[in-house]
Amino acid sequence: MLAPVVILLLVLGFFAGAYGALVGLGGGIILVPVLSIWLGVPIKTAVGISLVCVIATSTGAAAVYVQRHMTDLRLGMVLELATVLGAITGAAAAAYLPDHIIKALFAAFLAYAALMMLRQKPAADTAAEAADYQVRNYPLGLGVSYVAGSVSGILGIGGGPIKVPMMYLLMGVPIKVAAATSNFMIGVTAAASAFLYYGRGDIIVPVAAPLATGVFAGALAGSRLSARLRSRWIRWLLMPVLFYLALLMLGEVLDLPIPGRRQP
Amino acid sequence: MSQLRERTYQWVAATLRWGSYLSATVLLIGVLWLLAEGDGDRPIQIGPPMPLERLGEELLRGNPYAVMQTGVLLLLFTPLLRLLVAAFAFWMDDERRYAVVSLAVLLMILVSVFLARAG
Repeated sequence: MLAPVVILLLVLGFFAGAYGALVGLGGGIILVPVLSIWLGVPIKTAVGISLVCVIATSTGAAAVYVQRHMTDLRLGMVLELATVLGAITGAAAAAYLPDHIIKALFAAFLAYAALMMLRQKPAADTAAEAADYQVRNYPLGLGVSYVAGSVSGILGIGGGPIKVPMMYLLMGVPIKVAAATSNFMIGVTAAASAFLYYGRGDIIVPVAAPLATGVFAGALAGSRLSARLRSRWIRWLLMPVLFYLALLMLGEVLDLPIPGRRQP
Repeated sequence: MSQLRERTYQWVAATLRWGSYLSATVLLIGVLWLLAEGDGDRPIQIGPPMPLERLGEELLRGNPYAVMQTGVLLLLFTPLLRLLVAAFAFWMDDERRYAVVSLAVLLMILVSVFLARAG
């Protein structure tokens, strides 16, 4: 009975990792609903496991971005002060939040992420633009980063859809640098809350390990594929999936019948 | 603002790269091992991770759950190591302020883990 489940988790991780690499979303936004709705994993455990996978996605990609100097290391470090503080408070608060509140917040975030995809324009920075910019609005950036960190700690996601627009629109950071820097911060932010979930026993190793292994492989495959695929089409494909997952999470909150749903 | 030295990028990128190679390899070994054992006499361990005191012992006994848990822990510790390496690199670059920021982030995480264990 063990082997089919482990293989299913490997495959699931692979798809989440590949999708994440293709559209620039961490796998968390897909993994948490799938684990919670169809695999019967309690929501807080799903969040803890997802954080492990989010670190896996972020770490591999961040290495490449840092190597290519696309990451603003100084900005990332400063904003991490706020995201990590948020992640710690978020993870601590999650222990006391009722499950249906976490699911409702998740549904809202899914809808938000889908809408952000609808608005997203292709990055058009020139190399010169990317090298020369002045970061502004630090206090506001730190405030929004704190919120992004808390959301990550409660929902088990990286929080890119909050941080990237914040750096781009509020702080004057070119979009590609914003994306690379957001990804860079995710590893440390997710680790801060993951340690707290780990301590509470909410990271189930035989589920997290095959998933994270799949995510590593998927992220590698996805980044290879992204050079050949048109990301606009993938985005259009993902949007209805996110809306559908948002509806299902809402259905869970309202206890509506969901096809294939497994109760914890 | 001045450009950071090339080696700062190199060190941080290398930490992230080797951290992910190492944890991915250990995770893969653990998962394959678990699959190879199949439905043997080992009970399926769905539950909280085993205490750290037992981890070494279980690794020596060849428990694939312990191998997978080590992989998860290596993955979790990679970002913390990255903070330490970045702090060191910033310090060498005379970017003392950013070295202190990196260490402050690391300290916050360590304090929160300590407080959670104590509470």
